[in-house]
Amino acid sequence: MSFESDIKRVEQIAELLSSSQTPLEEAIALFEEGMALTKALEKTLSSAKQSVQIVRGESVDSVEITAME
Amino acid sequence: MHDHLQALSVSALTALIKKTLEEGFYGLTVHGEISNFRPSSTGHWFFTLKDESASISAVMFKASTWRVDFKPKEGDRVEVTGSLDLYAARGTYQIKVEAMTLSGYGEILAELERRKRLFAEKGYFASEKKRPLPPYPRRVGVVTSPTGAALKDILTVLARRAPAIEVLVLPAVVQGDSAAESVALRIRQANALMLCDVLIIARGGGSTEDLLPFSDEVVVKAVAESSIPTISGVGHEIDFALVDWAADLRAPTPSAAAELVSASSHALQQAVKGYGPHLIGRIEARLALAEAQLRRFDSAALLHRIDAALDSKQFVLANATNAMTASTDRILASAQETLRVLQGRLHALSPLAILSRGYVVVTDRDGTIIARKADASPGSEISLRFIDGSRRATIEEDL
Repeated sequence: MSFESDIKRVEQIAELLSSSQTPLEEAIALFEEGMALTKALEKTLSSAKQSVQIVRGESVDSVEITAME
Repeated sequence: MHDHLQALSVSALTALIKKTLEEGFYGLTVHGEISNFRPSSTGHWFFTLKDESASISAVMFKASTWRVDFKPKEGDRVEVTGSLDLYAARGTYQIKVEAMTLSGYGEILAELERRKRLFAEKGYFASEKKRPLPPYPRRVGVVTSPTGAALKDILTVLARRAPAIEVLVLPAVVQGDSAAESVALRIRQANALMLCDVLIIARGGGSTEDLLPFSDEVVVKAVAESSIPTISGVGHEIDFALVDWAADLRAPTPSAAAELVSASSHALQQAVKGYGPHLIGRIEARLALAEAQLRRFDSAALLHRIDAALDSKQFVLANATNAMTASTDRILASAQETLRVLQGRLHALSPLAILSRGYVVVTDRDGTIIARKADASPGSEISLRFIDGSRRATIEEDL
């Protein structure tokens, strides 16, 4: 699952939890799934570390891209 | 031979000179070159204004300096307006400067206006060509000086707001004769190789003259032709460059440009932080509702109902054997025990535990949930689903 689809799923779960049409047992299962996804998403976000690269060379045909100090 | 003339005191002479100078020389406009520029820690500027053959001291007080849109430096050719001021204690005079512009500032503005009209005619600023920035860019290209404050500001903002966005620096010369071509080349290069999802063209603050490369046709044209969405962040709030009109979005500063490209990512990050509490809030509301429904079946309420039922069936009881009575007692005791257990579970701390609290799911024969009395008419067959299995039952009558 991608980050984007996980987010869509959590939003969908929040909708389902608000609906009185969702049986309680299913709501509990959805809640657990939603919390697991949320924790994973938060982890992904907080573990992201900025990557900075720099272009070397001035050709418009090909460039070398290296990490910037 | 001068004995009969009354001698002037130094103070009196100085006062005369001061009056003559200050009343005779005001509202002056003087042009010259700045030298020996000494900004004081209190915010005043002290410097000398000179030309090939003369120099004059100058002071500009803090109350006036904030209006100057560039940082004066040694050798700047400026035009100042102000008045003469004599400092009696030292017998020195100076220009008290109220306003300062770089020489040729008026010409620069006129030239920018001319170019702006020309570029507009060439369609570089066409509003129908403006595109929205991608909401979640994976990689942001930054055309700027690799050592400048602008890049530092952008990296700081992005690291704080959206660390997952990759940054690609396209190093450019941002000042002097080679700047325009250098900046334009990076924009063309990013497009030729599709190096990023959005392109920031940035430069820190500077004089109007310093920012001129960002009003150069090669830069404006490269931005107008960029297939990668562009955002300009050149100088401070009060500065402008013609690249601002060609870019898809204009930010007042490099930091603001970084905030704009990360706006959605930042909002998303904030939203994800809110997901957990949001889900918990929803499930709690759901459980509270279930608990309210269950309360109708707590032990006290049930006993009351059973008592009521028993009362109305006195005649049945009257005919009952002792054995039956004993059995009823046992059933009652067992029911009470079960209810006590249920009640205990109801108060269990974890909201998840409620699942096993002994719900009975009532469905019709097709498995459709019966939530309302109206759907369970007397005589209809129903299924009671317990936690460990199901039983069939028949609806008798209203309680």
